[in-house]
Amino acid sequence: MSNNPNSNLQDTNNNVIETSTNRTTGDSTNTTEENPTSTLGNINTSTLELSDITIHACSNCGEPAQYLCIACGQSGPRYCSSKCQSEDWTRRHSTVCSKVTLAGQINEEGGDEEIATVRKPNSKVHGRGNIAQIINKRKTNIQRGNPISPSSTTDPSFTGQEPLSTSQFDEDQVDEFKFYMQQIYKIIKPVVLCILLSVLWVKISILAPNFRPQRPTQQFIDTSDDTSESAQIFNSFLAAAVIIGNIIIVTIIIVCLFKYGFIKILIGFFMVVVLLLLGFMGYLLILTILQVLQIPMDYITLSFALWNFAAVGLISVFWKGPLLLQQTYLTIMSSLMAFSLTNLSSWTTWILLALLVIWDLVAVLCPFGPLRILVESSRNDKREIPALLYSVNAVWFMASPSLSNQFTSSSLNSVRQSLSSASSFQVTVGEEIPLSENIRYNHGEGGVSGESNENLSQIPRRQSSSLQPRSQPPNNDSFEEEEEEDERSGLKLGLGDFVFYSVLVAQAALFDWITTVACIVAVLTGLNTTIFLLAIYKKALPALPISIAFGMLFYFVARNTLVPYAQSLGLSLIAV
Amino acid sequence: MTLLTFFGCALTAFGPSLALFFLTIAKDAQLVILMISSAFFWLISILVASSIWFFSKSDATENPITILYSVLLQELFRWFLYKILRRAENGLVLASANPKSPYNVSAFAFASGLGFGLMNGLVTYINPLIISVGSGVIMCKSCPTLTLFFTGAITTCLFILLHTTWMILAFEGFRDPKRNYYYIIWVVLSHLGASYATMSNQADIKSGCVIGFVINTVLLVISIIASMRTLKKIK
Amino acid sequence: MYISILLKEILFISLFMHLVLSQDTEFKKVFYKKLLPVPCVRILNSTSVTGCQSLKPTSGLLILTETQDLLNDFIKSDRKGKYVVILPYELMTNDNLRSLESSGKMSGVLALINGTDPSSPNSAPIIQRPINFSPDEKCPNCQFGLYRNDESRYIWNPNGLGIIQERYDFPIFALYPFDKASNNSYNKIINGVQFNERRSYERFPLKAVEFDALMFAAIDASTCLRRNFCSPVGGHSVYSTPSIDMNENDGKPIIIVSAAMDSKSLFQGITLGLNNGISGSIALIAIADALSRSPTPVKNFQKHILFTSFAGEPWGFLGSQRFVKNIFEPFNCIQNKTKPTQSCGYNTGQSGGCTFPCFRDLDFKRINFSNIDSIIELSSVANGISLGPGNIQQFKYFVHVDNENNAGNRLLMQGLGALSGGIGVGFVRNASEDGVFRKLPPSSSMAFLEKNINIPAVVISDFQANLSNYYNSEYDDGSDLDVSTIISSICTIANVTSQAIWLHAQNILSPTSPTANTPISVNCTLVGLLLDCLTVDASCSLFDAFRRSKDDRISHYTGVYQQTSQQLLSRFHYNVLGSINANIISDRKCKNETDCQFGEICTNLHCASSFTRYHDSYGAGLEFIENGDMIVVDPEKATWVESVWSDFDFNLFNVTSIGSQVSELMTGILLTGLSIVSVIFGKKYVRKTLKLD
Repeated sequence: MSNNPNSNLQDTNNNVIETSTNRTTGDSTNTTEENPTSTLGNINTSTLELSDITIHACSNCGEPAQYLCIACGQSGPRYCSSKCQSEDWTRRHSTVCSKVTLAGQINEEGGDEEIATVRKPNSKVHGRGNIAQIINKRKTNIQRGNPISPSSTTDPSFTGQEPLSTSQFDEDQVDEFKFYMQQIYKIIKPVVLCILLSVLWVKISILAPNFRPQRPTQQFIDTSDDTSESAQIFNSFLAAAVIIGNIIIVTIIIVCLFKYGFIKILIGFFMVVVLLLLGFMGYLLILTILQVLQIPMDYITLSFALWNFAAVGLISVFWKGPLLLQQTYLTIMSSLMAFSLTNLSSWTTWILLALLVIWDLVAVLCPFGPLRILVESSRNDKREIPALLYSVNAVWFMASPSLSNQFTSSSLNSVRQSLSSASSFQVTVGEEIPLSENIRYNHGEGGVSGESNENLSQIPRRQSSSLQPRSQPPNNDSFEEEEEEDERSGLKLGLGDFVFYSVLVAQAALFDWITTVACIVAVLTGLNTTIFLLAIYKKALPALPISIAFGMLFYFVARNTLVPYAQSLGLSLIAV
Repeated sequence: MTLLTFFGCALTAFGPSLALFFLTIAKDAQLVILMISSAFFWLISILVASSIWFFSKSDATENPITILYSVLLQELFRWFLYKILRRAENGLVLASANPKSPYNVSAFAFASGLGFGLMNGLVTYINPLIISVGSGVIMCKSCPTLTLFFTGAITTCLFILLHTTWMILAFEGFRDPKRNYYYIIWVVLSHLGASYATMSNQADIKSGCVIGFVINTVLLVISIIASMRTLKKIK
Repeated sequence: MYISILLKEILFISLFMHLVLSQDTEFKKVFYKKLLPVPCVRILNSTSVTGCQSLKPTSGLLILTETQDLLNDFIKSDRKGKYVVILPYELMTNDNLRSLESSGKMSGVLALINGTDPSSPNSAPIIQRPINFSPDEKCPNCQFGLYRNDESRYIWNPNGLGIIQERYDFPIFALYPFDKASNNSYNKIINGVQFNERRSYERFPLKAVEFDALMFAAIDASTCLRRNFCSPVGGHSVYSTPSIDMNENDGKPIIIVSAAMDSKSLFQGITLGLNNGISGSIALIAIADALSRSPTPVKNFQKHILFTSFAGEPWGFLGSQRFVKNIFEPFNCIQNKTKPTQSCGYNTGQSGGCTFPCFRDLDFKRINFSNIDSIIELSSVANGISLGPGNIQQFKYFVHVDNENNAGNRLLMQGLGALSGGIGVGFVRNASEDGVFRKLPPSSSMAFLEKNINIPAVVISDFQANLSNYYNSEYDDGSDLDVSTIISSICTIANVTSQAIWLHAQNILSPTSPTANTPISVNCTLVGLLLDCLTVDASCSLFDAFRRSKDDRISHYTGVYQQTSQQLLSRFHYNVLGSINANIISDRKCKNETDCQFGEICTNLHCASSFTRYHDSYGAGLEFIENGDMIVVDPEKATWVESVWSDFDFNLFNVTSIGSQVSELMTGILLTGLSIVSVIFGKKYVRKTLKLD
């Protein structure tokens, strides 16, 4: 976790705040998207990272910045001119800057050992800025002092195509890569967990006995129900289309509600939905499990347990709860939703997934996609989308994941905050990111901002919160807070994505273990690819298409060829 | 009570490789992602192989041919994987935990190899493993005292480790094909050899499975020594 | 407490077991040879639970105990592990089963009913077929019959083992080769036993089988009905008459000719009941056929003739009691929606039925109970031939009545006797000719007599003092008899009975009726065809109109009542009796019944109107309530319900010894532990040699 670039060094926070408050254009990525022309304002960077630099605003006046503090380097504040810098220095940067340099020196003395500790999850002090700094300095040293790097001797590819010309370039790249690696890793865990849960539910429900007795004595006339294959597919198509239609309609309703400010209606609605989902789907699942395992249980116990389960879920999701609990609940909810979707016929499921991919593409990438409109309006109004609610809604309505593009914990947190005080709504929901981006590009800004993807609205909150811990030496409590905050920010993946990944794998699990494994790998690879594409294109991308496409392809090929192939070789005990 | 067999076989087949995974790779996000990607590549290779198998309607008598193209396809995709990793190598090395270490590339190879191997093990062995939970067994033809599950578990274990070392060696060979061509040749030949050796498991040879195990173990030991040598050479 | 159970075994083992064993992958079939399951199932009534149950899949090594001594040895032996005991059916007494259960070595029982050594097909059967065998009670259904309150009831079935009424909480399957699939299963099992014997149960792998026969129902009928975990035993009776215009107020007396259409035994899949069920209903059809060829149409006689084929009679006279109840009690339709509803699936508007109580049609009201003139019931009649002195075939049937002093009864008995060659000398005798008066055996007539004890009612059977030797047993399959003997036995009695009915319907039956006066006779070819169709090869033409799947032999076990769908046997009787009694044949062509209107039968590819109807048959103690649920209204009466189950599983496979399994586990643990250690040290070594630190 410590390697999470979002974990800021306490000291640099001040800078962050200052810098951000002065920004005029708000969130950095928003700037990129809205004002592509502003990239032209950058001169001193290579084209590759134009977009990176554009977002920097002068710490003092908010104008586009071109200069850095030398001592702080990439992690430090930016200035539009030397005049601004000197002004800022006298006002506050002098105090901060010395600390930063001090920290940097310490780290350098620590050498490799320090870097190693950075990787350990508990060492929270070392923020992203510091690592970048250290690496930056090291690289510079190496390149200046000793141009023969160890790798370049043995490996031509290291020195080959892209010579490491400027230290800034390396730093950004390295930072971004590290950041994405960590984010993928963090996201893979709940995704895998959710998928595995769904597989477990499916495997259990396969056993859920068929309650229609099969009696040899009863040879009833088969009421001929053998509709043709094509008719079946048509029916499946129809069913899938109906579901997709629901998703679209709900999306539009939500967009309208949001646009006209009926946030409370949305929140109330979603609370009911969460309660129903946990209660009802939980009931169905528990019933299945009880049947399969033949556990005797009375309705009083069952309903008591379910009520508590759902109530705790509701409270922890909408109000307050340990992060772990929230994540657990959201994972369970996603897997429950996926489980409920396995009741559809397999053709319906495949068609539904295919249609979802299309809808996802349209909603996220098309200029008139409803989600885009939603984001635009949230951006214009400077109003935060109650994204968690969206997630939940998406789950309930089997909606496109694009509806629900918040990674669980952070969105929960934000909603909790937004619910806790209406007045601070805009202030506190800071960790949210706009809706339309399934996996949002989290821009690495060097050391400037650990949580660079935070919206403008977040900054005041940070300012206020930063006042307290910084005045005292960091103790364990603040470490924990920091840790949790780190976890609550970062790359976000919609609950809907969880659901539909799980639906795909659950459908595969209905057939065979090999298809299950193949689909899990395909989905995870698709997810990785999407995130890497995100890193390359720096643009909001829908999370479903690649994963689902891989998954479906792998499922059908594996089902038809790999399973018999593996069986044939497996029985001959031949390994290849 | 057959859970005994299940856990026994699961630990035999995947214990060593999972130990490797959790003690070396799991902590490093980058390596885990690499592992998943390489598993993906192996999966593609086996899907292609199984498609060929499916459309040629092979039966057990054509196993030698099946092995031949399955192995060659895996090696081909190993090469593809290398090509793609090489493109990303710059970034990967920079983003690694210790960018200046000369062993980063070897670590990538190790992680990819483990991904290849684990995926191989999962796909070929997961169905027998799951079935081993039940009471029913089939005895191995050449070793009537061993069950098919257990023989398969040992083979799987050896193959996962073999794949890991093959990947390290192959990367070394691909890196400098002119000088290190013998690594590539060794990887392809030993892969073929190891696969053909497993044919003795169900053959009418007395203690045939032991022959297969011994051959594979010998290949594994040679490969491990060779890959250690490459590591030393890097320095 | 639940939690401890949950944690202890169910969650872990059974989840895993289930996960593996329930999903039928191709791969699994290599390890598990599927066998044809012939299970004993769980049946409940309002007070007791009977039949078998296996709460979870159980498996055991195959072992055969051919004799009582071997069985005792096995029970006393100190063998380890679980066994599936193959027990000759004869040894399946309650005592043996209980001592097997308490020995703790048995995980299931396979009842070996017949079969030879598969390695030498012509050898003698492994077990001898017992001369008498009945798993049923000693006095079957007496607690539901007419004499249930009598202090000393006659014991009709002294050979009864009573295991059908016992509750066994372990699986019992049957081994009964009769067709390809069952032969295949049987051979595999016997080969498996021989394999185990060759390896003296010591050298693994050994052959084992696994049962999965989970029954959902528990506690009693009302509980499981409420939980929806069982369905009422029963089906649809069929009644049919040539008098198409029969009506409640026409005042014409009615002669009821009755038979039971089905049978029961411990293993429903192989129940045939040739003598108990089939012989009587074949005779019934043959009589209807003979009467339909009467020179004067039967419908013009002074009396109506009503043929009733009751379903579910072995389960406490379900069919007859329900039928009598409905025609006897005044009917009041509470609700009629004319369209199918959730609780009543019939299109009642079309057929003139009622939504609640749910009836497809109300034509049973046209039968006036008080008009019933007499009842002639055909019980088991297949075994009426015995070898008399000098190896000459002797026909002998017996007429049972409730009250010999009833004039109507006397007339029928004497009439039948006279037609068969003379009262007391012909082949139809008075059952009390040996001087013991036993009243009626278990029969459908009891239901009628319960409402009016004075109705003349005769039960014609091939037994005198005891029910047939294989009463309600799997052995009642006719394999101990010659087919031609069975045919001539049925044909003979059907012939006499049809003549008696023909005379009686015209009020001219007399103790001295000469045989020559009756111009009708039974078609013995039809009897042969019916017998073949119902017992050997069900792909005969009689089934064509309504049956799709073809298999060699159909089970004659009483099924469960399902409102709108009738079972195969009911359909068979409906079509056959309906065609025989069809009146006006229209021009409209049809392929099957669905092409014709209500009240019509598809006969010879044409729709023909026929007064042939189904009538519900389920426990007299059960009733439907308005929402379509069923409840127990009278626990004293028959309330049999059959449990719902999931698919049965019955697999044969090899098992290894616990020792080798433990060594596999140890290898795995050691290998993993070793590799963990070596990875840790290997890492250190690599760091050192490569100077990474």
